[in-house]
Amino acid sequence: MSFVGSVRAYLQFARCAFQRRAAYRLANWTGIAVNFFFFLVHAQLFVALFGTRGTVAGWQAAEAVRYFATSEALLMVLGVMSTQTGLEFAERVRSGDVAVDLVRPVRLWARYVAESYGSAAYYVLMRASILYVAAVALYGLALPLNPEVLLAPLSIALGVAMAATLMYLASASAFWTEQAHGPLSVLLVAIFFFGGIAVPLDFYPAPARLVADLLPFRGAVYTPVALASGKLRGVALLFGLLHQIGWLGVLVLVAQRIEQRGAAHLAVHGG
Amino acid sequence: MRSVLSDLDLYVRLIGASVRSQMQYRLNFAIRAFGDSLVVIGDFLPLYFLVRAFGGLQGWTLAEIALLYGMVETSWATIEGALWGFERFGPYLIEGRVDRWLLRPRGVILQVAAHWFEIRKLGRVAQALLVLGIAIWVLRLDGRGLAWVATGIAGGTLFFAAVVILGAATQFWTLGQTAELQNMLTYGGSAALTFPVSIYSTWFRRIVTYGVPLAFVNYFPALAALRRTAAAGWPAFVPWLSPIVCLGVLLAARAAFAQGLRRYESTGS
Amino acid sequence: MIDVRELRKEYRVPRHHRGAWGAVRNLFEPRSDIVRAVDGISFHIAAGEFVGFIGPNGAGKSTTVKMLTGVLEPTAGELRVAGRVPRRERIAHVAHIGVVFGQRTQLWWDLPVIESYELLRHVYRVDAGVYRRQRDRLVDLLEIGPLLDTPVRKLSLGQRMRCELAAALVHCPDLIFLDEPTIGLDVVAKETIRTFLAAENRERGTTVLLTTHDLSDIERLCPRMLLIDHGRVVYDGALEQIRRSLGRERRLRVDFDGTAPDDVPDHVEVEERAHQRLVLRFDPDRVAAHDLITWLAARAPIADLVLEETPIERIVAAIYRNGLPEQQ
Repeated sequence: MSFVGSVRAYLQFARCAFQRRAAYRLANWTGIAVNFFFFLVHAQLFVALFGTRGTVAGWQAAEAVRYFATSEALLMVLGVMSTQTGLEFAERVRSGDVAVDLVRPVRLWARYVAESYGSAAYYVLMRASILYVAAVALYGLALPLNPEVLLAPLSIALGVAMAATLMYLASASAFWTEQAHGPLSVLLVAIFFFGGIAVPLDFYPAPARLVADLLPFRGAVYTPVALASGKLRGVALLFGLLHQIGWLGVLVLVAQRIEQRGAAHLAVHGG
Repeated sequence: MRSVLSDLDLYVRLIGASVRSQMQYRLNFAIRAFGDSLVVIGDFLPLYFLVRAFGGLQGWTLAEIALLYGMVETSWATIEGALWGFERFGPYLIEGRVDRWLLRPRGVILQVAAHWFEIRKLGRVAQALLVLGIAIWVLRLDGRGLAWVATGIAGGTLFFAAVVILGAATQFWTLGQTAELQNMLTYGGSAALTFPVSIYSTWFRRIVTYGVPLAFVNYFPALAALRRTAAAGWPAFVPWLSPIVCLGVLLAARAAFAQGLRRYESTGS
Repeated sequence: MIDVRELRKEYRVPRHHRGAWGAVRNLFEPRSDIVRAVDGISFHIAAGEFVGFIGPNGAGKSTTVKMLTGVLEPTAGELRVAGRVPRRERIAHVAHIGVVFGQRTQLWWDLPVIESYELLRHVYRVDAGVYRRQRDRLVDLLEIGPLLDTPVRKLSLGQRMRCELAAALVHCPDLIFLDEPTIGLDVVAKETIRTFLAAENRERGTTVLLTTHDLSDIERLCPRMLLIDHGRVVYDGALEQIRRSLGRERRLRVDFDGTAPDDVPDHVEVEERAHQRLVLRFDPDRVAAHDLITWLAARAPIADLVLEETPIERIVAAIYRNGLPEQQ
């Protein structure tokens, strides 16, 4: 298949994913309510924690609230809130549908990532923006005006790819075991813990922080969210972006190998 | 009395069948149980780091927060495991499984409750109890305190059972479209209740105390256990209301479910 | 056993306006239509009968059965099963009936078959001795002994249906409802099940209500059938009677040694025409079979011929289409 043909195929996947999400309007609104609720809880927690204190671990109260607004807004965009898409993929592997995909000259992993972008686009429009505006309005937050924030879309795009690849790797375990629930749950916990979804990594004690900086998970959440909320600058920003790019490269290579192995395994054992 | 015993007998047998069904897939169960077992640590540890970085939260120590967390998480994880049938009620309704339950000479709520016990959630319960145990030990709670903790856990269990049953009841009207709202009360609620209700802003506090009575799940019993009820500005009788409020919510949920069932029987699927 | 008088079931179906403006209208002027799924059905079934329920899809037969089993509340009319009102006395009513759905199983999917029976025993509160005798009898008659320790998910459809039947009878019900029990089964499996049902009805006096699209089920098992269409009972009686009053038509398939004749006698319809074959339909009261054959043989040498009764499907389809003609 020509390169242009491939690109068109992937765009099609992305568009389908977008449309699929768009069909569940009511579910989207209830999801927004849930996200907003979590934001409220964390925001108030931080306001209470800071109390009269100015700066803790390099953060101020307003910055922390803004971090959460950004985090909750971007959770669905990054695709790290639930194992749903991962489970769908694993189910396709289990039922053998994926054999059809493997025959088509389209990389399975790439398709998965394309679909993640499609759904991310939907959530940027229909969730992230709404949540962010509501949060900013409610707390009278100042928008982050440092120039580094312009790099946020890039970091978010990298984050989507990283999260998608991680999910792909976890659900690809379905090639060998029957179900992928276990690896997916473990992945979600790892992302939650090392990605700083609930608590920015700066508040972690040094040893935990070190581990988090080495592992790929912060690239899926912390780097884009901290950058978009204006907290990542200078050297830290550079490190964050390089970390994302480097790890994404590694993960993609692993994904390619897994795909070859997985296809071979299916060919031998059947779907 | 005889009917209650007979129902309990059936409950135990059906739960046993559900557990045996799950154990058929041993590898899968092991992997998922392991995955689940990390969740509590993954959830609690960041909060632990956070509060430690601040040295406390409005006069509440780490151990006291761990107590709150242990209590609410034990209640919720227990219900999440035990009443899985209600959580999957939407799909069951659409498949027509509810008809089958109506065709058996036993109560429908009993059958739904007994339908599926997700045993891997027991790992979560165990971890929550571990966190709770450590908190109790650090705080050196006496018998009275322990009694309040137990009351809080029991009340919380009733409350989350109510939420889950109510969530299932709404399926009779909405068929799965509002399932997420239940998550707000269960996962969101237990996240919010990890911290003392007093830290929240006035309007949030009011909603969570008088609106949806989340505060009665673990906060008030914990206040009583820690002898902080008066210090927090509440009259001494309030913690005693907790089990009553939670039971009330459960009865209301049960009534809602019965109503939904009546509607289902008159309009079909 | 079953007494049904002027049974009605109406649904309020909201009328949806189309389009974006329509969505707003839906909120402000909700309109609904009334759909009459069951429009005045009356019949009486005595204990020990074996009755077939047939009708096109959407005719109201499953709605009727749901009301009989107590799952659905009637809008109007009287309904009594074994003297009880099904919905109002649900638990007592349901304890004495068995139900088999062709598509959905009531067995526990991952567990051995025998465990499903044990669980059902406790659900229905059956005495241990009674249960054991009934279970052994059913296992023997349905030949499911070797299957008892197999998980239900590993059974073939035919095996599962036999186990399903046993499950429905574990608590010795007097009345059983079967919804398409033979659908998708091979000939041998169908036979086993039909033989079993006939025996249960004959020897134990179990009343059986069989809903089916398979007319050979009815031919084999049901001395009486209820044909339901558009929410009403269109026919209530023996299959033979319908055949006699409507099925007088005969079908003749003739293969000729040469070209088939171009024309046919009066009152004979051509159903199919090929170069050397004719398929004809005629009323034997008007045209005698041997006269027709003689007439055809005179025009072209006959290689082979087959004379058939109207297949029951055509009769029933005709009734679906045209309703029941007045009896002479």
